[in-house]
Amino acid sequence: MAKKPTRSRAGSTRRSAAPKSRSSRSSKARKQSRGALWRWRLLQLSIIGAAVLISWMFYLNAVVRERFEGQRFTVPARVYSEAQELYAGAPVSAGQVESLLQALGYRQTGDLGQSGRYLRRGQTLSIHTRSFDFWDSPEPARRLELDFSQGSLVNMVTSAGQPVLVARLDPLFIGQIYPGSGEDRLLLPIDEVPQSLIDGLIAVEDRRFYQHWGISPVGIARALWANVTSASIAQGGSTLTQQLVKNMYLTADQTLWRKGNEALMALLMEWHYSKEQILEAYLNEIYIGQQGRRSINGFGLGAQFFFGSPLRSLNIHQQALLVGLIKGPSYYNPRRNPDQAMARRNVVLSVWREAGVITQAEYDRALASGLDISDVPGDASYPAFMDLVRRQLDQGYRRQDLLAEGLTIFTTLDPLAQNHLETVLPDGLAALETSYNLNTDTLEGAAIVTRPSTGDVLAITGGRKPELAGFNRALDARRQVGSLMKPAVYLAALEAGYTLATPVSDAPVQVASANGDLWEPRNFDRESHGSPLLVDAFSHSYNQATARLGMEVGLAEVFDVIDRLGVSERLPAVPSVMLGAVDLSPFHVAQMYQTIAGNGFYSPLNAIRAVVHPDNGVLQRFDLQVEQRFAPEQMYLVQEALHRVTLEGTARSLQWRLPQSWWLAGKTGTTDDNRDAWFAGYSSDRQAVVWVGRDGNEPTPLTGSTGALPIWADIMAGLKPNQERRGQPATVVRVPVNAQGAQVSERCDNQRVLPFLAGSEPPGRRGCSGSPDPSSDDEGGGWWQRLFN
Amino acid sequence: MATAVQLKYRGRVCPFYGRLVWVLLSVFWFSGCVSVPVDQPDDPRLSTWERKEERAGQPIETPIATRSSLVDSLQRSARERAAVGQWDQAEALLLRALRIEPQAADLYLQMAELKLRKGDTAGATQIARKGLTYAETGGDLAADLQRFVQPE
Repeated sequence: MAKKPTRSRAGSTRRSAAPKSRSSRSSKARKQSRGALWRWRLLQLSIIGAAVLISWMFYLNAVVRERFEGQRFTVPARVYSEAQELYAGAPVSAGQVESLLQALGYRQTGDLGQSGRYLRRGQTLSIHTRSFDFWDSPEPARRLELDFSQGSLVNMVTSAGQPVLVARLDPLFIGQIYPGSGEDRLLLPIDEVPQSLIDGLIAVEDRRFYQHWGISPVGIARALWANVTSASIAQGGSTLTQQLVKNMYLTADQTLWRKGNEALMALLMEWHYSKEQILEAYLNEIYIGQQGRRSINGFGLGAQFFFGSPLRSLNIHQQALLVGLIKGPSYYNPRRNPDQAMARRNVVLSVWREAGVITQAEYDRALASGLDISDVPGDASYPAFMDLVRRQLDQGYRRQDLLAEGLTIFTTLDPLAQNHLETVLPDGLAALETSYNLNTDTLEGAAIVTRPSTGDVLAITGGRKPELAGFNRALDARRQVGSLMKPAVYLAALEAGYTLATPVSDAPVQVASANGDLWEPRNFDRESHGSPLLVDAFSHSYNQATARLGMEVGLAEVFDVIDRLGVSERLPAVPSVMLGAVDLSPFHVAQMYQTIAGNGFYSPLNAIRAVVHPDNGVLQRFDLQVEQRFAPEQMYLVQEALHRVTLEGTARSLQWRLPQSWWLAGKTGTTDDNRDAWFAGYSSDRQAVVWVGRDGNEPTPLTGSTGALPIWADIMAGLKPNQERRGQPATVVRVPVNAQGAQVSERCDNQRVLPFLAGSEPPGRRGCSGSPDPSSDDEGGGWWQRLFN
Repeated sequence: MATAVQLKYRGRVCPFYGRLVWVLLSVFWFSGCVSVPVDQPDDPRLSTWERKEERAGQPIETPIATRSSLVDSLQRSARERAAVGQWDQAEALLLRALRIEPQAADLYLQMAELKLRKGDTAGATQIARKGLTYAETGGDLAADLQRFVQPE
């Protein structure tokens, strides 16, 4: 075929001597031949082009269908805090609930017509709560009146005055994980979107939406005319379908290539899917705002982000603002540029009125309304806690489940406790630096708050700048724990038959290790204290007595107790471990003390309550796990010893730092050269562990008592644990003993009542000095006591 | 005019301290005029509830939920869910109650019953053992919990 023109040219050369008329015909023939040539080339090109176009269309078709019918939207796994329970008697103040409402993006206003609003008058809060689908049951939106008094919620009724037993606020969104595109949205079916918003969207963005097939020549022509007459790019001719295509599949580049693809894909989309399907996708896809790295997509999340209310409850003027934002989410951002946003909203409203979407009366009302947006929702960022959530997800869940779109992860985070911790720790460290004339920002710290009854992690901070992600000291800082390890030694001793009143020698001790090294622990004050009772050796944290006791009981037994307490780390088999010469993180310590606070029952510390798949429901949920590791009676004695630490031992300053009526139990920990200051303890159903030190492991002037304890006390003061204390086990008796551990009369001076396992109490009742002959001694403690005997 | 109190400093009146004392005395004097007693029924700082109490002149009994009645309600709901085989929801309700009353032995009993019905005998035993640490010794509750504790 390609030889045809060549033959033609050769023929004309051979006839070069022909007459003029023939020459003219020849020229004409040449022209015809050239035209045919071009037509032929054009045909060839067209065929090739058509083939390429068809192939490309096939490709685009696959792209459109795959995304639209598969995972249409990028919906990250959304992570939520624990929900605040509201009930008469709840230990929360009006201020705390208000701060939580603000973090949740509730708006303070006198008009409580929409959910997501509240009004505070003195100690009364009126709230229109939001509905929320919790993993266990849905919580409806409702109007509540809450009365507070003395730091507690005392009364809760509906707006009609009907008592309400319990309600839950919606949980705080604390972040998103997997797959990490940054897009976020709340998926809504089209029937949950107000009709006025749908009609208004079409009126503003694409009036011929129901007439065109994806592209609108009329719209393009109108936009072109408008742009030409205004000498600028004032209008776009894109249909809603084209906008959706651009958002879902393409970039925002203003190139012909992109525009061509956009048009083709719009046609394909319209060919495959109904107008309603396209509209629903648009309502969930469109980009309308930004919060840091989080992209706000779709009207559902947009309503919550800008107004703190669900989409279906928005007023006309709020809907108009959302529609107006599509044109320029950044330029018309109502928080940053309220004037532009207001102008844009009003333009939208006038379009709606002209198009008959709203009546004149509605228009007038809407025009008179303010922007009505909520404060910027709390950009809750708890990197240390999220770090823990990620690790526990990786441990307990299958990867493919976690990569599913739209997971909801309910966690145990208590926002009030977390915010309190994030305030107290930096403030406490700064106060210590001031008190001890240290350079500012040289101390570091970490803390963790848990709920002993369930093992929930309520709050965690990995450093003095809790808002920064990075080295999470609460989980990863392995530091020597010092005397925090001592409960294990004393627990082993109690299991071996010792009592709290057993005298133990505090004389200097030397222990030779297997490799011949000599371990010679010394007391903190460098003095020996004779033969204190076991409970005193513990409460005063005597190292020599503890080392002797541990060696008497047996190293293997002590290590066994450490293991049962929940320390899963591999520890060096050396006696110095008994005095805490072992590196553990604050999280490990919290796990260890959790077993003590849990009455001898091990419960793994847990940050995740449930993981919910959008289609398959609850993938996994928290199940209360308890495993008895110690006899509750033995643990009761250790708890008593820890309580004595706070009464008369190294933590006795808690008596003035916290209300004396509180039952507290805890232990200080200090390591060599004061490199680490620790305090671990609990009260009722709240436990906290605090570590203070330096990242470079340099010495500090701080001990557990002076460094970590004040911060622990401040944490507890804010948590206000309800003061419930387990009853005394039936197999435990309380017996008065003297300083030598002998049972004496309750009337003796300096006697103390200590708990014993029944049958292990010191034998008989002796004189106040422990003499076997009461008649020869000073029973009664004084002449006036004897007088009344 | 002489002030009420005159302080002498190095043999002469110290005008600064004199003025300071005068100001302080004035503040103390007038503070009584401007202070608002908290216990006023119309004090906007009080809650509606507290204002009612002030008007009544005595504490008003709370008409609705104490914590215990709330826990009772959650327990009832848990029983209803368990009766129709909704174990997870029942357990979730009991855990909500437990977070409110962490030392309620009857919650442990109900949870142990639930675990047993789910076939988790070992779990039921452990939960019951822990419940026993909160139960009154010799009481009915302790006896009920003891039924779940199997000899090891």
